[in-house]
Amino acid sequence: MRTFAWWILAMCSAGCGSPPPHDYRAYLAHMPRSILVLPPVNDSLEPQAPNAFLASVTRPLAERGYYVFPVAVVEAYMRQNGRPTPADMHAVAPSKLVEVFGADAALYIHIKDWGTSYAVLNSASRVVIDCRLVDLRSEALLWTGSGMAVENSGNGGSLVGALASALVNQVAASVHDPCPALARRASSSLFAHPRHGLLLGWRHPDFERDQVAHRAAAQ
Amino acid sequence: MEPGRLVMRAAGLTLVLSTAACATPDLYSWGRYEDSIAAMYATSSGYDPAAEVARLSQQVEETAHRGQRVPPGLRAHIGFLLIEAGNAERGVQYLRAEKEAFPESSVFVDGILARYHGNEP
Repeated sequence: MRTFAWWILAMCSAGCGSPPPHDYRAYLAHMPRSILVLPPVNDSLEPQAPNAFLASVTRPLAERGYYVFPVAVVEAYMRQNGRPTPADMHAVAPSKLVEVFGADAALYIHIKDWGTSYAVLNSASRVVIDCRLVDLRSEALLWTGSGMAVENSGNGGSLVGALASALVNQVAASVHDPCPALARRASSSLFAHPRHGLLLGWRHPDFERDQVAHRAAAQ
Repeated sequence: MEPGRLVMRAAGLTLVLSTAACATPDLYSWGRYEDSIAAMYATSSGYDPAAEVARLSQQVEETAHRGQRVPPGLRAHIGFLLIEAGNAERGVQYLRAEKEAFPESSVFVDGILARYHGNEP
């Protein structure tokens, strides 16, 4: 099959365009040790999006040096305690989250887009997420970021070949949804972005160096 | 594109990806923690909590045996599954192990212990 796929990974922190380096002053002043990831609110049309995404967000956060509360336990615990939906969970007062979880910061995620669209010549899968990291004691906004990952499956050959490949891609995508992998790429690239990403947490071996560098830059 | 060139391109991409992955070793040994969470929520996966507990607890043992770090949350995740399945005694052991490895979890773990085990810290 004369098809090929390529990745476009684009990212921007709130506002897009060519943003200046993130202002880390509030983040440095309220440096969290632990992050409570609340189940994502789904603004996309795909009902399965939030849970597929929830599974992939712990690893990139923990690998940056933070304690990450067990996402499935947190989700079940809140559901069993009268907060049935992610929107209900996002509405819980920060002081209550401190009381129940003892968390320093919460990550509020919105899934803005999640899915695959099919055209004659190709198919495109797209995942777009918005994240806010909030200090739960002061309620200060520490960090925001938007991440997008796109996968295009196109064809370099004839129209007949293109039609065949669009059909094959459609069948393949219905068997194997590329969106969870895209979401994983979108979030890990967003968190690890060199100019706009999350600061390294205290469990990371380079924590001290990262703090010194960002404190100097924030002066 | 000729098949040979496609293979070469794929091989090049794999090489780039694998060297990028090797650049920074992971802090934690993740095993199937993420896949297990995804399976919990998948509508058609035939999720079996007892089988997941068996696999994940074996993973924790093997990770510790190799001298690697167990990811944050995994022990609490196993503990919660055990308590939900009615095996509170083993579940409490995992929750306490989470707290010991990650003191950041203390407030939450103590809350679960109090709620599900009637056992104030």
